[in-house]
Amino acid sequence: MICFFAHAQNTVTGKVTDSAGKGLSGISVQVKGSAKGTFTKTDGSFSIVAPANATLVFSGIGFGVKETSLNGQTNINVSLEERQNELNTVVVTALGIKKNAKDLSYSVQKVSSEELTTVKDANFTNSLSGKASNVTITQGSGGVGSATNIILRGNNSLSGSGSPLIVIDGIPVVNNNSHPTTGQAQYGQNFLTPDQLSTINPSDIEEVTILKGPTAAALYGSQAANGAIIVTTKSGKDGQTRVNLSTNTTFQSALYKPKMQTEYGGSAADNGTLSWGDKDPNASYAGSFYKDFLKTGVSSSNAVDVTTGNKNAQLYAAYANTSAKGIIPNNSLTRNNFDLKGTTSMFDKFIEFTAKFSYVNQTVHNPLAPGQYLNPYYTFMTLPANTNMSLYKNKNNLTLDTLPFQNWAYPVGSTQTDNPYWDAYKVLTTDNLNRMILSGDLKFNFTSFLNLVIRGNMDRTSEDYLNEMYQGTWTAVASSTGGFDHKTLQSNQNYGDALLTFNKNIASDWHLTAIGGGAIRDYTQTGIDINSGRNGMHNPNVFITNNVNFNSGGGGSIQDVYDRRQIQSLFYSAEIGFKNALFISTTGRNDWSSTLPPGKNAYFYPSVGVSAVLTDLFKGLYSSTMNYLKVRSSYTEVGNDLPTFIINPVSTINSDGSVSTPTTVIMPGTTLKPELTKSIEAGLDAAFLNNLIRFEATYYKTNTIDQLFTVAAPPSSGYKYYYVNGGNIENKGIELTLSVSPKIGSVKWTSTVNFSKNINTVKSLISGTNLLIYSQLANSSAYYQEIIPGGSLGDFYSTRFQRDKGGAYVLNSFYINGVKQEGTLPLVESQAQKIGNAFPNFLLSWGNKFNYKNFQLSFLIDGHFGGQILSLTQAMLDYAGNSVETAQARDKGYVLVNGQQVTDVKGFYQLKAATGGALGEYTYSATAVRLRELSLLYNLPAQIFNDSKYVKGISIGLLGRNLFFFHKVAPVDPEIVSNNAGGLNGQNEFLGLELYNIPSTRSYGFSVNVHF
Amino acid sequence: MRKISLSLILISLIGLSCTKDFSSINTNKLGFKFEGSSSAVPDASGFLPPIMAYIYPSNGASGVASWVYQIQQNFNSDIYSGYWMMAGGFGQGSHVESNYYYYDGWDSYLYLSWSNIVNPFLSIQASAWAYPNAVNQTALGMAFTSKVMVSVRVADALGTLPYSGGGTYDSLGKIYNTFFSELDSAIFYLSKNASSPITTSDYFYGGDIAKWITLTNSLRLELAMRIVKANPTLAQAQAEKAMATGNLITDNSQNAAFVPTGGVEGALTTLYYTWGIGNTTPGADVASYLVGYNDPRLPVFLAPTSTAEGNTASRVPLGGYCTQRLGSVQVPGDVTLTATMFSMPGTGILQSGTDITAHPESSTFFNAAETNFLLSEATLRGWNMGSYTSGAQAYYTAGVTASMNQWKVSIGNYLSTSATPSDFVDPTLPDRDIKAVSTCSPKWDDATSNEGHLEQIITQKWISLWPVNSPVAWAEYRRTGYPKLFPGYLTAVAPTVSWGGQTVDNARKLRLPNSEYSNNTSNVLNAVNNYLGGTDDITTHVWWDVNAPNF
Repeated sequence: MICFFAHAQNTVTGKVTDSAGKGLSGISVQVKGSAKGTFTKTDGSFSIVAPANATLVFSGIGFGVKETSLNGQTNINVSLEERQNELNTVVVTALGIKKNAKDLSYSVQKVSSEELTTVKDANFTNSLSGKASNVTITQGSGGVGSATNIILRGNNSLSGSGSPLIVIDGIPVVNNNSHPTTGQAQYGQNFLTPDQLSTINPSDIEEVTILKGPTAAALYGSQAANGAIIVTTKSGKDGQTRVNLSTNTTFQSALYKPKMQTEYGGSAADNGTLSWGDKDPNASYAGSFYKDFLKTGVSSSNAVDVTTGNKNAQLYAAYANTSAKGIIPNNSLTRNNFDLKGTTSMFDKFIEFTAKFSYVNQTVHNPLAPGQYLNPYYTFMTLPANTNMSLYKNKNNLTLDTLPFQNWAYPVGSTQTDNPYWDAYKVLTTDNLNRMILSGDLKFNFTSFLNLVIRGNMDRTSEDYLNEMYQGTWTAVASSTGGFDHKTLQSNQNYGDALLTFNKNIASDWHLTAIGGGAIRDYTQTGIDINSGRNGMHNPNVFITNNVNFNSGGGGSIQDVYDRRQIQSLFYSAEIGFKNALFISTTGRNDWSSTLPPGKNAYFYPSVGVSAVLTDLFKGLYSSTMNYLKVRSSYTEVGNDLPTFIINPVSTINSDGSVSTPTTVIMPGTTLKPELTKSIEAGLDAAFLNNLIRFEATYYKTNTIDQLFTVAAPPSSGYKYYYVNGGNIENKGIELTLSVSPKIGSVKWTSTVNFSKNINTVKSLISGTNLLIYSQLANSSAYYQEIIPGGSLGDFYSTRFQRDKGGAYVLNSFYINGVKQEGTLPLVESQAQKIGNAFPNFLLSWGNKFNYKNFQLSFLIDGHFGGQILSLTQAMLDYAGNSVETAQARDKGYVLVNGQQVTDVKGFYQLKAATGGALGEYTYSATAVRLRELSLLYNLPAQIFNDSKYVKGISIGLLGRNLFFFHKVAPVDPEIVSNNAGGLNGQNEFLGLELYNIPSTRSYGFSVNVHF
Repeated sequence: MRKISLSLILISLIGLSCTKDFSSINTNKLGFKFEGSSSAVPDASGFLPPIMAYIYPSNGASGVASWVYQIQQNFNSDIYSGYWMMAGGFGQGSHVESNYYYYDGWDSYLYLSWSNIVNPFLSIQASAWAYPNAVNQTALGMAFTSKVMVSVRVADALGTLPYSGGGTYDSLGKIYNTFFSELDSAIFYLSKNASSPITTSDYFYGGDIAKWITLTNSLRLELAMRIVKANPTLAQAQAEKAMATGNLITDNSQNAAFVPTGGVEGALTTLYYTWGIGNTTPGADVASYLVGYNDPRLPVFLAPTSTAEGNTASRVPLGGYCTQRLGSVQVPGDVTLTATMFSMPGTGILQSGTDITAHPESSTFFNAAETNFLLSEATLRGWNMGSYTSGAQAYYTAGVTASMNQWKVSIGNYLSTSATPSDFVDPTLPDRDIKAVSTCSPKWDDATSNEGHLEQIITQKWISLWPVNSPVAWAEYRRTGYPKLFPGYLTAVAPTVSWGGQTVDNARKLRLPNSEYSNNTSNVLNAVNNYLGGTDDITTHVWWDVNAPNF
């Protein structure tokens, strides 16, 4: 502490307490009219030198301001009134810096541990849905263990990932999926293992802060251009040892079932597939497919955590075990989390040290990939309704005596199907993940206003992915002796930073917080992929590397995997506060990235912001009606570097020894530069009627320019694509949060509405190009995304039936033996039209919590309004004659085309639903409103535990997630679309396309928490 | 603030001193890069397979996916030449190529595949210039010939290509000029080194340079004949240049067959067997000609199907050689076809479980028969034959004989038979039956005109190019009108020649891909206007496909 000596000065000591008499730390004690000031210690005590007649001003975050005249006293005890619910929370912002919410010039949203863990999901990420505004969570569709996609404030990048940065305890962690897609989307076989955010033990989480715009995350640099999700984990506490035990079990079932006809069976004409045969009483089997095949999933998690500590050292230790079985047979996940966090301080808090160790072991078995191949769900849609599955479902009897063949009623591979139980039991994938994060945080408190923090972490992930395909697997996918793919990946991130923080009143009413620092991040991924290829096994069903035939051409291959990136950064942040009510802040960061061209590898990006708490600044504004009013605004730029290696293309060697030169290079005559996101944001936060009502509003506009484009190169150049910078994608929108927390009798009710609307516009593309075609399904006009200036990234295109101006179908004509035939079926458009946009118009959620005595009831209604999806599931049901509509048409004997009865029902539906047909007819509104969460918690009365030596409390709960839809138009869950090849990692591919996805699930269960 | 600046300086010293490692950090260690020219390597022969693989994209050869052949060749020249038919609509209903519908998702692949060969070619060229050793010069010679072999089929199908660089399209005439000069370059580099420094990277001749020279000369003759109606002067000059060498493929031992080292499954095997169910069936014209001629090659080409194999229709036509007419896919109200209704491959062509090594004759891209038929036609045209002076009939006879020998069958009295093609009988639907469209016989008809002889020559050439050289067969059909092929049963576009007549306007070209229309709009529109007469669809004639008499 710095002391000031002057004449007629006394050393004044004392203690600041809250209304309950508990000492308050960090309260500012200031000599009125001077720059002198100090803060209270942890026990609330303070000591300050002040003139004998001075007035001391006590103020603190969340408390009213109190002025006390000394009148010669040298010992003063002050009790500060808590300002009731004054939006006075401390939030964790970039780099783990804690800030008062009211200082912030941008919008953040906090999600508490309680909100995330009351209704647990095996994948923690899914629990964020609906808890904050403008957060879009897309669930994995492959059962348990499939990845989840998070988008904050809309997609803005064409080429890169749109995912937010994940930060744990101030340090960014790696959050990549390990199996990027390779094949064509409609065939599937591309599934992604869970992102690493989802491997976190939810019980460890103290809170999650969502920094939605780039503004909030400016200090993290490139990685945070899409916002950041900041997770703070629990620490040990000073005081007695506490133990928490919690157990949580939920059951999952399919949230919906496709409606299928049960009248018509298959015919030999379709090789036994499809349901275009005669009426068959056995067609009722169709209804049992789902009942038999889909199981009730069970997910349970058991967690224990211990906190202990004294004044100088605290320890937090936790273990959690999660196990889940999916609704698809043989699909499971097990996860073990160990966490250990120790905090200690030395030399009267001169040094504070935190060390943390986390270990995750996770094994996922057999998640499914959407698409046509090896997807039992697809098989069910195409199967004749009279297929007696009971003949083929015995998992011990999946192979026939003649070994290389599946026990299956139909030719394997016909219409790309095989025995669904084979897919579940004989096409096995195992993904084993081991992750270890070791982090340390050393803080030197030089003075009360100056500290240095040095932090680092090592984030090691090793992943072992094994794919075993038994002999008999369809030979378009495997070899005739089966298939084998073994991939081992090690990723390794080392991160280190140093921050020097200055935090002091620099003059009367003026406060400066300044931070300067540097960081380095180095990421390496290495691995090996051993793949048997199509001809590649010596002996069937022996899944070891030695058994892979590397000799024959077209056979096995071994490939190395390698990736590396390093970013070095310097940054600063400065914030000047006036009267603790007006804040002006600025940040700047300069990155040097290894991925950028030498000599041009540095880029700088700044931010400025201002926030004013008007109710503090102008005391007259403050009243019991208007408790709080803050306005804020900020401008930010964030740069983003390039994908690794693209500026240094190299030739590669194929497994047969031939050489491949790079197919994509930088457009000749250009130099690549970093992508730049510019964002402006303004908002206000207010509280009314003694905080009965709270309101937050934010407007933002984000433009991402100089995006990395991949454009077709002239084939004669020898390259397929050129990289070039350009374009401008704009996202603008508003976010509103309104909450009320009245108390009605002894019922305390908290109700929160989140509303957000984002408008995505492509302002420009690169010069010379006014159109980009993206993510074509089957390289065709069946589905693709077309990006044109004035459009949106979410626009998608498809062909429908041609209609004339009056809306009547234009009929198809053709020639048979050269004679023109006037067709009876509609003509398919030759050119695809824009048929939808995958992005919702707005998101609206309504969360409610009721506390009554020992009961707590909460529910969350979550709505996505607007947007469209294209459902291939419904198309395939029609194509295969399995939809109810096709049966009704056959019952009638016709379909109506322009009022005429057309008897060729099969022809009509197969034309409509073919990949090159009128697939666009299967576009549906993506609007869906669902009961996202419902829970009832009961805390056993405290008096029960009065006599107990150990147990301090028990709570039990009933809970449910995704229980039902209040409103849904599409035949599938529109939330899980586009989650196959694209749409993951925030990539903008296959947006709005539903690719035979396994139904999403509803879950319900119970939880028990015991505190010791 | 002072301390902040200090720390900034401190950290910047640490930070900035490290960026010198960035270049090595940002280099993909899984590849290699040679300083100087980015693609030049001391041994460039490894770049040959990626070019040759696109001549016959087979399962896994040089990393080319197994399905490439199907959409690059089987869905266009294989069916438009009458060799094969699609076995179904593959989810497209009747909107498929065999019904003359354009489906960009498949048809664009021919163009897209072509772009794959340019880069390895440029790498070989850069290497041969930077490291002018025997391997690289020989590789460059082979690369020139291989590049023309791949490019000519793409150029012939599309009618224009941006061949000379940039995004600007060239006329087919200009492209052919370039082909001929590239063949000159091939000869130049192949002639530089007498020894055979390349073995494993040569999918055709295992490094036999002499055979490459013979192939290159023969290819020149083929290309010259292709343009005979569009540019007769150049055609004659180039043909005479080829024949003057006296070094053409006239013996089956010189045939150019695609046989990758290590052995891969042939694309036909993949289509017929590996994918579990029929992806392709034989074309009706094959049965009509070969059954009608009682051709000794037929049992080697195809195996008859039996009535027992789930054939819902009672018709087992043409001695069990069940085939399909063009345009038979998914006709409304149709009996759906099953794979077992159709003939499977005979003993001569690729069989289940075998690789190409076992059947090189069914992956042949230039054979002695073809040269002999070209010489026969050249004689009819009265060109300077150099040392090839045996006469049109003699070369016709030699061509047929060479083909019989290639397939190891006895020719018998084939060349004296006056048999004509059979009428076609569909396995399921009488409406698809059609009378034979040709009365051409194997026996050389002394009495007939040059036109009649040309029909005989091209018809026999068509048989001798089976099963995988459909790009040449389709091109020759378009150039000469022979062999006469059955019209499509169901077609999306109106036939331009009256249906009762002997000739019909079969598919003439593939549309340029949608991606080019989107990404390279102005250049494509210029090309369509300047080189394709303003239309770009299946009825558009390419430059050498001139609607004029053959003589």
